[in-house]
Amino acid sequence: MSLLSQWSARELVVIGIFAATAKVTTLIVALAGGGMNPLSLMGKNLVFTTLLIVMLCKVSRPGTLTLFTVINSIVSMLLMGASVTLLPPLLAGALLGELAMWPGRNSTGLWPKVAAAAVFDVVTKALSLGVSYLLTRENAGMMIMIVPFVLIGYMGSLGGLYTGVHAVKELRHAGIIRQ
Amino acid sequence: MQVSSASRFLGMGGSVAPDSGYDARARMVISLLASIVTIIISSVEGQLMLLGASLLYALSIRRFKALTIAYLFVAFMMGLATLCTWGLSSVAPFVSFTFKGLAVPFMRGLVMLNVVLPLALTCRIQDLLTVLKGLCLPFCIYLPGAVMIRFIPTFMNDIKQIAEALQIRGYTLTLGGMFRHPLLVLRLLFTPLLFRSLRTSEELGIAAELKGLDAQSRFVPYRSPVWSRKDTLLVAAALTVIAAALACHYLLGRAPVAGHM
Repeated sequence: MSLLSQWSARELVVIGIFAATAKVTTLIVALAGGGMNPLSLMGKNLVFTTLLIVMLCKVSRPGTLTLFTVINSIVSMLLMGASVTLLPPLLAGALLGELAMWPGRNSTGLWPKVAAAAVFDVVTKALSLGVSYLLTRENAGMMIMIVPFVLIGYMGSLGGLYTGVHAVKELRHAGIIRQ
Repeated sequence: MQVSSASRFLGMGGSVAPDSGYDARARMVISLLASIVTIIISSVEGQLMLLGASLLYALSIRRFKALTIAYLFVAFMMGLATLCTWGLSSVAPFVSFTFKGLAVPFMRGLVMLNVVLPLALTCRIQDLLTVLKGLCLPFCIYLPGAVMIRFIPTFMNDIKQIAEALQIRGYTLTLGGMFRHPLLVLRLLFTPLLFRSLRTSEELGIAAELKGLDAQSRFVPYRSPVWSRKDTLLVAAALTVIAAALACHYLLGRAPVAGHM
C-alpha cells in the first residue's frame, strides 16, 4: 500500500470535514471577539487544538496531521489568498508533530496524539514569529507587539490540549470515537 | 443554492457572485505572485508601485462598498498598531517610530488585501472545486479539499441554526455578550458544532464508501475551466508590474530603511 493511498474515502471525508469545521469555528470566534481581544485569540486556538486532537483520534494513522495541514494550507491559499509564507511553518510543525507521534503510532492511546498536537502548536507558533519578522523587518520593534499576541494564542493552545483530552474521553464514553 | 451559499459565506448579502470574466486560476496566480513579491520588496518605491497596480486591480471588480469596508477595518488596525509603536518608541528607545519603518509593512498588508478581495468576491464554490480538480492533485488531497470547500458554507448555516436554537432556549447571542462571555459562547456554540461535524463526517464517509469513491475513481468536472486570452493578458500585466516594482526597488529604493535592525 503506497503512502498516499493508505486512507480510506471515509477517513479522508473526516479530515475534510474537520478542516472545514476548524476553519469556520476559528473564523467565527476571531470575528465575534474582535481581532484584538485576547480572550477570543485564546478561544480560537483552544478550539483549533481541541478539534485537531479529536480528528487525530478519529483518524489514527501516521501522516494524518501532515495531510490535514496540507489541505488546510491549499484551501486557505485558494479561498482566502493566504500568504505562501505561512506554509513552511505549518509543514514543519506537522512533520515534527508526526515525529513526536511516531513511537506510539500503533497505540490506540490518547497521549501520542496529544504529543503531536502539542509539538505542532509549539513549532508553528515559534516559526510564525519568524514569518512575522520577515513581514515587519523594516520596523523590527513591531515584533514587541506581535510576541505577546502569539504567546496569548499559545496559552489557548495549551488549554486546547486539556479540553481535547476531555472531549475525546467523553466521545469515547459515548461510543462516537471507537478506537 | 450552492452559489447563494457561497455568496453568503463571502459576505455578499445573499447576492449571486458576479461573473468576473477571468478564470479563477488567473486570480490565484496573481495572489500567489503578490504574496511572494511583496515580501521580497522592502523599499517604499517598490511597494508603492505594487500598491497602485493592485488597487486598480481591486477596483476593477466594482465592489466599492466591500472594498471601502475592508479598507476602513485595515485602517483601524493600522491606526492601533501605529499608536502602540509610538507608545513603545517613547518608552523603549530601541523601537524606532519612522514613516518608512511603518509604511512598508502596512503597504504589504494592503497589497495582499487588494489581490485577495477580487479572488474572494468573484469566484464561485464550483469554480474553486473545478480548479482543485484541474490541479491534478492526488486523491487523498483532492477529496478532503473538495469536502472542505463544499462544506464551509454548510457549516456557516449550521452555526446560524445553533444560534437560533440557543435563542429559543433563552440565550441571546449578541456581539457585546460574545465579547463579555467568550468562554460561555464557545461552550454553547462549539459543543453542538463538534457533534454536528462528527455526525456529518460519519454520514458523508458512509456515502463516499457506498458510492465506491477511491483513488481510481474518475471525476468529471461539472464545468471545464476556460483559460482565455484575457487571462493571459492579466497574468502578463501582473508580471510587468512585478518587474517594474523590482526595478524601482533595486534602482531607487536600495537606501537602508531607518529603524532596520
